Amino acid sequence: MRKLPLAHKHLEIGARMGGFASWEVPLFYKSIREEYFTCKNNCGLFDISHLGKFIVQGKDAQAFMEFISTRHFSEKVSPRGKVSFFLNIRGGIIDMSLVYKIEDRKFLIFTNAGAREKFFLWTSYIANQHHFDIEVEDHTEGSLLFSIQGPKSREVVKRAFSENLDSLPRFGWKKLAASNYNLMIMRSAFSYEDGFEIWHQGIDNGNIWGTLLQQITEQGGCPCGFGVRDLLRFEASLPLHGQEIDETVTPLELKKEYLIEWEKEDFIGKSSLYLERKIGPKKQLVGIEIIEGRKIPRYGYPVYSSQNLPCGYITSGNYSFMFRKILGLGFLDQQSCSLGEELIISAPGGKIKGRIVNIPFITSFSEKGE
Amino acid sequence: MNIPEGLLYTKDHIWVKREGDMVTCGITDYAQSELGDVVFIELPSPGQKFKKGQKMGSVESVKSVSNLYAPVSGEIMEVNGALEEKPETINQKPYEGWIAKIKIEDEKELGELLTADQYRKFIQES
Repeated sequence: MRKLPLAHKHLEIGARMGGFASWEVPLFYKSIREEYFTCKNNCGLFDISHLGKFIVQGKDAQAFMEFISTRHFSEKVSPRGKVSFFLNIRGGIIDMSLVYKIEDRKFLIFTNAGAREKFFLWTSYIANQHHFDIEVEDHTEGSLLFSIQGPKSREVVKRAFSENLDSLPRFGWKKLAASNYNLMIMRSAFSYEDGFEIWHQGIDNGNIWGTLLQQITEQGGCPCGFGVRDLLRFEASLPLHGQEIDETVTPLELKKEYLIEWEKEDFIGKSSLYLERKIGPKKQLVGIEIIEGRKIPRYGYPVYSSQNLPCGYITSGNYSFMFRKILGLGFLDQQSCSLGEELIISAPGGKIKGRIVNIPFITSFSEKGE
Repeated sequence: MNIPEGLLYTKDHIWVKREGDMVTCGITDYAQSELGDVVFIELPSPGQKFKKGQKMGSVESVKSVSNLYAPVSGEIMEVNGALEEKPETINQKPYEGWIAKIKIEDEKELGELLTADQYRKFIQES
């Protein structure tokens, strides 16, 4: 297991550590439930230094990024980041990553933790095969990434770094040269609340973490573990590498065509995706609300239609504290995906009855927390 | 880790309290902390009979699902229905959030359970 640079800091404040994508990470500090509501109502601080952190730079960086990803990047440095797919030639997803163009020929990319090695190999391979003059640097081990999520997150970041962030748009970023920190602040939230991510290119003995922890505590927030992070991303129906995302899944099956810029001349996977768009994807990601049974659907559980025919599988499931319901995400055959359709999920020890609902869950329910 | 003296324990992390010819049982503090937030509990039904070590229910936490195994053989006399509404009691007060009362079928089985010291040692070694 890889250790986070600040693992000792998490243990100091009582973190329960556990494994995730080959990293030992804090699962929770006090309780997932408590941290969830604190994050929703105030703010939560997450150490997400396990995420893949890459810099792609060089003479051909612009052309390379246009070719290897589904998004278009402006010629100039961009004030906003973009979520982009990196696909194989069949349109299968290598990763769904966040890309920032931070200098003229320099991109900063955050990948899912589970996709890190694959991303590095894939980008290096394509650069080599197509003779792009670029370098791909993996900064995962030697840098820190923190996330502050929740309605008071802006205040926390403002106070911690004495920066006015009022004009920072969603996915906007700002590099801080102040003090002895080498920092970048990005307004990116995965929880449908306001949120910021802080990247520090280096390890600073926990000073930034300490500052953020102090500010977050003063705002009534708390450190949060991966239990909450997974629940927040699940409620927002954001795909996770290894669960909703792998190389057998395409962006169209995830219902994320809006992250494909078709007008681009070419990008890896475009022709396969184009064909899939014409004939329609074979499967679709759907939301499932459990209507009978008290079991959480978990990854890999088979799903059957109301006529008892196999029609798909579960990718994620959880109990939503916000909706007070058990919910699931899963891939179903295209013909079984009608909203409201009832389904049977086969779980160890019994069956669960579900119904297809809209995703993301967070906007498909009107209830709002405790 | 709270491991009260005077209770008996199984290696499946069930605590057992003897009361006459019955035992009351629940999940230990260690088990609840390992499970994380409990969101549902599948209780046995009064009248059901189990042999020691048989599955008598399950606990769904945010992290995982775990089976509950009968600490002794016997008949379920009563279950804590309040857990269905407030499963978080298991996390908050594991020794008050009892799960079931079982009428003891074989006294000898109680002697096979662990004392608090033995259970503490078992956890440390496992």
